[in-house]
Amino acid sequence: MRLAVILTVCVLVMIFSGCSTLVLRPADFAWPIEVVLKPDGKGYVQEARYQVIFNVKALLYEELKDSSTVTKQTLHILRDQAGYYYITAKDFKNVYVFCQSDGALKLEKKILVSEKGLEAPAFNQKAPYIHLINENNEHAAPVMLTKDGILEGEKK
Amino acid sequence: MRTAKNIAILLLIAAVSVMARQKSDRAVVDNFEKRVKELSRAADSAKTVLDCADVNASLEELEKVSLPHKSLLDRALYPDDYSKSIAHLRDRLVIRQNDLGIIETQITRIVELENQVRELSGKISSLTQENDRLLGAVKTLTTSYALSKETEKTMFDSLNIVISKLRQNLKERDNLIFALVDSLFKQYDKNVASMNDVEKQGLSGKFERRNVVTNIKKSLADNLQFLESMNLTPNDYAEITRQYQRFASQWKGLGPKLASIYLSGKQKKNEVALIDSLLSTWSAKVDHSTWKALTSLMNKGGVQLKPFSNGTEFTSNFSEFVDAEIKNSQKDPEDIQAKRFNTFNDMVWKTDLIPTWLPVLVESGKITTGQKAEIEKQFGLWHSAVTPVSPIVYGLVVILLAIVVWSLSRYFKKKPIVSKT
Repeated sequence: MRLAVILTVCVLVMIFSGCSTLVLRPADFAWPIEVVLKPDGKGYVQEARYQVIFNVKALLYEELKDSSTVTKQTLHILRDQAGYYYITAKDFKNVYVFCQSDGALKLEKKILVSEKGLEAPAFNQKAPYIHLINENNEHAAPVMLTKDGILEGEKK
Repeated sequence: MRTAKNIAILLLIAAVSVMARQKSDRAVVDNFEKRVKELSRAADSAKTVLDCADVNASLEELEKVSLPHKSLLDRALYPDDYSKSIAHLRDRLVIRQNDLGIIETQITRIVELENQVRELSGKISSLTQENDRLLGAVKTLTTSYALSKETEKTMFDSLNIVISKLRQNLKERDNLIFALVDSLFKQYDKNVASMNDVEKQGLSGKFERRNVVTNIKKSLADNLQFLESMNLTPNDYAEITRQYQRFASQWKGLGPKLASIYLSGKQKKNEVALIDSLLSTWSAKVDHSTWKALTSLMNKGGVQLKPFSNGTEFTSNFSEFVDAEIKNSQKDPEDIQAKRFNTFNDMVWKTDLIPTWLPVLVESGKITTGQKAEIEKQFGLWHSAVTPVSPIVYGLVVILLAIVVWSLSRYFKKKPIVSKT
């Protein structure tokens, strides 16, 4: 009986140790500066340095309810330390936070930053935050963003 | 306690974030990359030592401006970081310099001159601002002084202090402008006549960037305004005449060079002509004001001359006046004649005419050295006419004559004896 218990415990230990996830920590996914990209006719944006490519048609439809004029939009994209992508554009009311998923980007949070729409948005990497600034108004305080929303600063 | 401390820190962060200027990091990086590309192209296409010096100066400027963003640039630039980008650019320039056979010392000298130009340019701007302020102060003080019925000494003194400071500043700025021009020309190390069109264009651009023509025009306008301001003393006019002479002589050297550089641009050539015309106006005003000031000076010394507007008229009118004085000496009592002479001598001749006016008039070509000598001779004649011969002089002459007679008589008495022996 005792032997059977010992054997069971050994088998369980072996099973659980085989299932545990290997975690590499710490990791920093932050891009030093934002990238500014224009989608192609099919709605794809491609970042050359970090080799990222994804389709933004659904994002443009979500924000503008129109994905027919994709090439007219210029997207500002920045990745934070944790690996979340922050995306916005001129006249957007929101900043979209995406996380990497299985062959896709999955919306983590939609942050309302301007009721009127952003005038000249730009992201700055200020780890652990992302600053959203208005390039046309350098004296305005930045909006401090995290993947969960606005941390500090004023909504426009 | 801890909560209060946290609130204070949060308030400080909020205040700092409000005060700080928010600039896009991407814009900083893009701008740096753009400048590097531009300078890289400029280094490759440099054809002369001056082109290389220009690229070198711009590179130093870029380095200075970008240094505060070094950390960001190091992270954002790829594959080179900030230091490598600058180093590559510098290497590229050195290769180009070697290709052109340029020696490093040439570049260093030009960069030094360029720094000098930058420094002078800054000084000129600040002096221009200060002069505008002073000209405004002169106007206000002059108006207040004219309105006050009684002569207020403090106001008069303040006005004189401002005028003196302004005069000094105008002189300094004029000198700085021409020193700046000199430094710009020195960079080319050759005459304008032997410059090719590209070099002329480069120099013209530098003149444009440093606002040389605008500064010269501004300087002339300010000098004219200063001349028109009230309360200038005869010595001020003498100094203005000197300043005009210096300016005119420097412009005489620079004007044709500028006209040659601006050969292609009609508008710029017109600006050179405008400076010539402003200078003529200044000359006419200086001339008019000088004779006017000299007239008041002579009047102050009790000498009423016929109106004069040039050196010849001044000399002849002064001679005429002295002639009349000598002729009148028989009519007027001696003490009155002497008093008139002494007033002029003490208040004008010794204090202003001899130490200041006559040398300045000769220096500026308004009178000749001969005319100056004539004026001094006339003064001497007037002096002799009004100074009675002292009895001591008569006594001395009698004694001298007696000695001569005695010596002669002794000489003639001894002479026969010498001949006998």
